Amino acid sequence: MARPHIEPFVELNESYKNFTLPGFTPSGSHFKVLSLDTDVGACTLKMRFDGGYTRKPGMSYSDVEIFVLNGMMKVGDQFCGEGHYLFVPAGYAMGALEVPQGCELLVMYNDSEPSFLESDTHHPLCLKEGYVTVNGYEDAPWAPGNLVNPSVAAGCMIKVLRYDVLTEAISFLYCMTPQFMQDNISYHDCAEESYHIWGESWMLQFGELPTGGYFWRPPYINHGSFRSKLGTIAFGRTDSKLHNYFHFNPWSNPDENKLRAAAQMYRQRPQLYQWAASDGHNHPHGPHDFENPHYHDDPQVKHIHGQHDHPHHHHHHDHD
Amino acid sequence: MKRVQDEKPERSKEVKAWMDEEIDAQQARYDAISAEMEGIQEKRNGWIARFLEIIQTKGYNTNGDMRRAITKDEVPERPDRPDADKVVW
Repeated sequence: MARPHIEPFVELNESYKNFTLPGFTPSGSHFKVLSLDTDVGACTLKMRFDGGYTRKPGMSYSDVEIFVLNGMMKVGDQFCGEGHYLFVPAGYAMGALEVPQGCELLVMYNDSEPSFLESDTHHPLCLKEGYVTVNGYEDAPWAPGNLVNPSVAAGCMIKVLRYDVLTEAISFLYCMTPQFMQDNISYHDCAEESYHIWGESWMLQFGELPTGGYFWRPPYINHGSFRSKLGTIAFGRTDSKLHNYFHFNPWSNPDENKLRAAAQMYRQRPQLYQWAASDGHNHPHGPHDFENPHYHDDPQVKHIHGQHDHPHHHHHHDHD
Repeated sequence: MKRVQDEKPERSKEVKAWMDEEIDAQQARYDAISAEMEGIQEKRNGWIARFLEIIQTKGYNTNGDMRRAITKDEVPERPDRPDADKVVW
């Protein structure tokens, strides 16, 4: 099993633990697991670095995403304060960390369990051009939610922090204005994750999600209708393309939702549906893409297809 | 095309122990959340009733702020199956 459905989870009620994994000592680093892939160890952590914490330059064997919730940390020469977002590709030698007065972060290991290896040079295979560093509060504009169509109701806005061109996975900030409402039930083909930085929202299935509220929601699970009385700002992610399937049946289950999604594809993309569903085209590693011939090796692509620890072997199939 | 991820060393005993501990903790968290969500079913029934009322009067959001009112014939009925009230999967 990958990550289970964790929703709703209010992490503020939980205590931190000392981070004793290799590379994360000395003391001064603490963590809480918000969700964990039980097979590969990919996880989302809330972390706290105490004032005075330092760490030498180094890399991880996983892509890592970091969002600064409060406080400030210095990464190499760069000051990363509240709202700062980093995408650190696997093998990227992050600069030395210095945390003068303490900070709290969301830290997401996308491919495997947390790992850290001291190094001041990037790994030779590192895709270092993928590094992202941006302050989401100060340097990213709010966009209307109709970035995705069918769209959320007015009053839910989004700041895109990172967009994966192969899978269309996105990491983003979103907000709901006070008195936001949306009267439908939604589900997606992708997994969805959210952490409430501040504020509250309400969903028909799960009730109130307050500040510090979190969810990891696998695909095709109903959520909504939606309300936010006083507003909220949150960090969110998907693991692949976000499509809003809206409906009004509070009792449909994930299998029915998936069938409904496939039925939409049958109606709206008939040629592709017919081709994919026909004999011999159900390729376990995905069909050939002349534009992205190596996409099968992309860790995120492998991850969303559950191809962990099984390096891709190029099969040869005869296709029309 | 080889990636950095392909060169990750085998998990050490320490890492395996950390994983085992956190997997157990997550299972406990999942069980607690599931129980809590089952515990609010009565409240949820009220929320669902209100939702079904709203979609017949104000309508449901089809796309953005566009709404369509649902006719009485279209209102879904709770199915008779064990997972009908399940919200954590």
